[in-house]
Amino acid sequence: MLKRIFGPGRALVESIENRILVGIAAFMATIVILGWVAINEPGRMQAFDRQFNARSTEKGAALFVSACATCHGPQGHGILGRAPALNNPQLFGHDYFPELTAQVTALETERGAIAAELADTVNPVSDARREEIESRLEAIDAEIEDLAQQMRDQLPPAVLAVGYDPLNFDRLEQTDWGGGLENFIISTITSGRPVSNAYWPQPMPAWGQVSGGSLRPDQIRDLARYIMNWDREWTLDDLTAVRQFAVAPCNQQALPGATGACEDLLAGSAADGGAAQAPALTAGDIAGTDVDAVLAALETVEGDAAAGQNTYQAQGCTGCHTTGVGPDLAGTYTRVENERLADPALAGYTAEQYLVESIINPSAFVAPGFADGVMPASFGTVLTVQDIANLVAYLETQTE
Amino acid sequence: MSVLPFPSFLDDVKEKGLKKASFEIADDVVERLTAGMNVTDIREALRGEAPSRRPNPRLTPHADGFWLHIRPSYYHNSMTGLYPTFRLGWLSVYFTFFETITGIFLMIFYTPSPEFAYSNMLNILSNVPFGQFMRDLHRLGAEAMVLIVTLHMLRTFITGSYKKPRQFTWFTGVILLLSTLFLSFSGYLLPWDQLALWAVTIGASMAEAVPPQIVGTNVNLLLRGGPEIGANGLLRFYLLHVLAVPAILFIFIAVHYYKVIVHGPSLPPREENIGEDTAKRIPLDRRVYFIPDIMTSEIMWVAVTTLIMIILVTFFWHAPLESHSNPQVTPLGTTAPWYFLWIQGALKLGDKTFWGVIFPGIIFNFLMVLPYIDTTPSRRYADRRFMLSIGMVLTSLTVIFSYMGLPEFGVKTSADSEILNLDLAPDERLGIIKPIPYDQLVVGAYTTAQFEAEDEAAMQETVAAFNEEIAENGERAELLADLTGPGALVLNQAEFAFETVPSDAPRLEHVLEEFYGFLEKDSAELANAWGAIIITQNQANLKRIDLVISWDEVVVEGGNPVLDDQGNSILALDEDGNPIRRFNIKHIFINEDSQYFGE
Repeated sequence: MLKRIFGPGRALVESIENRILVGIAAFMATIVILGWVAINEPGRMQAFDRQFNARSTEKGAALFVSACATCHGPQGHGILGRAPALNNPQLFGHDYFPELTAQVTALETERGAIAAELADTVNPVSDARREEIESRLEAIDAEIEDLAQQMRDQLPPAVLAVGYDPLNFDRLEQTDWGGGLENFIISTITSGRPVSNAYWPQPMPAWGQVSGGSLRPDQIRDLARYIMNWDREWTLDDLTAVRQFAVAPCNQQALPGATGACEDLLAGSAADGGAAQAPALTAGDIAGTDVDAVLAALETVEGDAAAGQNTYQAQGCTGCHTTGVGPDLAGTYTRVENERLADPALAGYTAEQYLVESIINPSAFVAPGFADGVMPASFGTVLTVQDIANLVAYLETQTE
Repeated sequence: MSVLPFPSFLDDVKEKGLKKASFEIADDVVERLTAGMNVTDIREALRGEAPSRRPNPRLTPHADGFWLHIRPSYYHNSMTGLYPTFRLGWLSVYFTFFETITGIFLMIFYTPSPEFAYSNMLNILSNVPFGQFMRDLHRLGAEAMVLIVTLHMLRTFITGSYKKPRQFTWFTGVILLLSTLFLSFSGYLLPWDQLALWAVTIGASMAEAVPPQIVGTNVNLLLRGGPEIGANGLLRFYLLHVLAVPAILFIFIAVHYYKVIVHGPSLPPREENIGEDTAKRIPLDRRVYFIPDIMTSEIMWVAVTTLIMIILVTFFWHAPLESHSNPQVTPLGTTAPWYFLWIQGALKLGDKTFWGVIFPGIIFNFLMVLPYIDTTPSRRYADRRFMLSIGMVLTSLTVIFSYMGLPEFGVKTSADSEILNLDLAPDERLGIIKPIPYDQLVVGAYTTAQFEAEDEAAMQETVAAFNEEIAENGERAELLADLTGPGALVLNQAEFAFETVPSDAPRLEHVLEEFYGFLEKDSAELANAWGAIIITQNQANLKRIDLVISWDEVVVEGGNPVLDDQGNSILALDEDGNPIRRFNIKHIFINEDSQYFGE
């Protein structure tokens, strides 16, 4: 039996000539396969890179959900007043108006040149020239403003309302970052933004283990790859989807103690004509975060308490408002009427106004005995005006 | 008169002509290099002719040369066939050198530090020509070496070759087996991936169980370099892997082989009279000379074995690399390397100290002293029924214990977690979700309720009825709250509804049906369960897949559902006497370029 199986093989290697032949054939085959591997190596390495980067974005996406989404929004669109968008053409430096930008750049170059001339104390300019320069500088500013206005006119008003500045279309330029975007992201995640609580309610923490955080370097690279994966052919819709643009670090001297300048900047970005320029909301629109606009819209929208109850549960409100984490659902309306509106901080509020504000801008007034920042500030970005009307109608049934 | 002021090669040229003088000097160099064989001798040997001069020049390389001084100049011809050695000892040596060469290649690109080890692996795979190839060879060679060394021991046991006078050879062999196991095991840690960390954590935790406690604690500390495996542990394992254990291995290979030559390779048991050892007395007519027969045979086997290894790693097998090690996340179904599964299986029988340390200790000590216990003279199979039976029992036990070491045996995880984390979407292995082709992951929400329909035509109605049902009993609201709240999934809640799997996604439908099957199989623990696969577009080339299991909680005792008289499970009830509805949701992301289906 064994002989029959191994017999032919044994015959093959029994004579010395056959052994030499088999050996040479095996060596030749080895060389051929090595050659085959060598030819395919560049392609294989490239494929590995692509595959590895792809899987890295998957891990980054999972990390984003668990670590970043609560502040930067589940789709990275940012949350008004909390943290800026990352899924944001501004972060990727997308220029919507390359031709106008080229003109602005030319004007700025000119301004820089003549301003330097003016500032030269070794060879001071003549008075006549000084006047000429000063008037030209004014003209340049006006021209730039004019170009900026042309840009703004082409943008949806809502985008301007949340602080987009078409002249500042590139985040890296805004921060004078010298390296590439991926390094900017890695560096920001690793080290955080130590003074960002001057302009956000919570500072961006340092996530990197090297900086005392919880993420390993490879996890931070996964996250950065995921964020970089948002880059695409940007359209105006992408700009509209952004809920919060990055805030430029404001007056350096005011930091970190005096935060007034920065608060003004934030308030300005939210209030700047937001209501004036944004079109009136209708029932199906996403509510946004402008309380006055929503209240105005609510005058014509009828709320349905039963639908409001569904929304209340579907949005997970019960997760906090029946468990003691937030004020209890039962008796909400009674408490609003009797206690909240009596609070001097809420002088002049109507019950409806208070409820709407509490839903879409929960940090504006925090009920005593509860912590700020627990309730997501993102409801204005997911609920429609109709949803809000339903919710208010539902809450109005919560009396004791 | 010399051409130069001293005698030189030029004198020879002058005297004999350039051609003859050159040939003579080449011949002379060859004879020096081979320590005794000139060109004519080599040609004769390779042609299979008898040597033309006396004394036999084919013996001088053994007598005078370094490289062959340890090799016998001739073998017994009963030894040169496949039986009795099966070339296993030779293959063990082959893999020792094979691992050394491939290992040195990998060392060039490796830094034993947790900060760099894993990215070194990625670099080897993505940026080093032949990097993956060498890593695959090294890994496959290591697994093969463990297997071959073990089989070599088994063969030696079966042919009774450990008996007098070869007791000490066997003893050194057991040390070589231990070294091989530890070499392979210490190599596991070096890539610093999840597989590495957890396989080694399981292994090293056994060191901790060594009694008495003060020894165990300190051995563990010395090995791991701290309470947890970290930078120190990695460096220690690396040094053990590339320095200490190879040194032991090479020293004992030398001793082992020296003993083999001193006593001669043992003959098949039937060829000798009982109690005699005739390996060193080889009759003239049974001699097979090393030069040329054994040498050409060995060179041929080097070529053939290398070719086989290269074919395997080029076309059939790649060394796994899991994600970066993470001490906070234990992948479900973690096991020791396969050759230690028997210990892991034994550990499930009870006490860690006994089954994890004392039991393997007894086994290896028994192996070491075996030749000194079993001193019966006969090597014939018929006379060794008792020892052969013991060998068979031990081998069977190893196989059974290894089976018991698998995660399928004796480890009870809750059924929902098992389905999500072992069957559908394990963290490290493929599962069945990831291999679905990207274009078949059609955005939408699908439910296993689809398969409750009687036939395909009724599926749409069944799913529509399911949508209404969950909207009514509140499960829809709870599901949406879980998905959008803690899961941070962006959904159009008003329009959210389950639908049937589109016909152009057969793979997705198949997976959903398998999912349905898993739920059916575990219906005792997952009462009234339904599952769902919800696919959303996260980025342009990235999809998010939420896997949902929803069920009524049942009464569970000791990991198994409690059954009533009819064999049905009993629903757990809350304070108000209502069944408790549970949800378990896991989400994964799949990128278009991840190519899981190619694996």
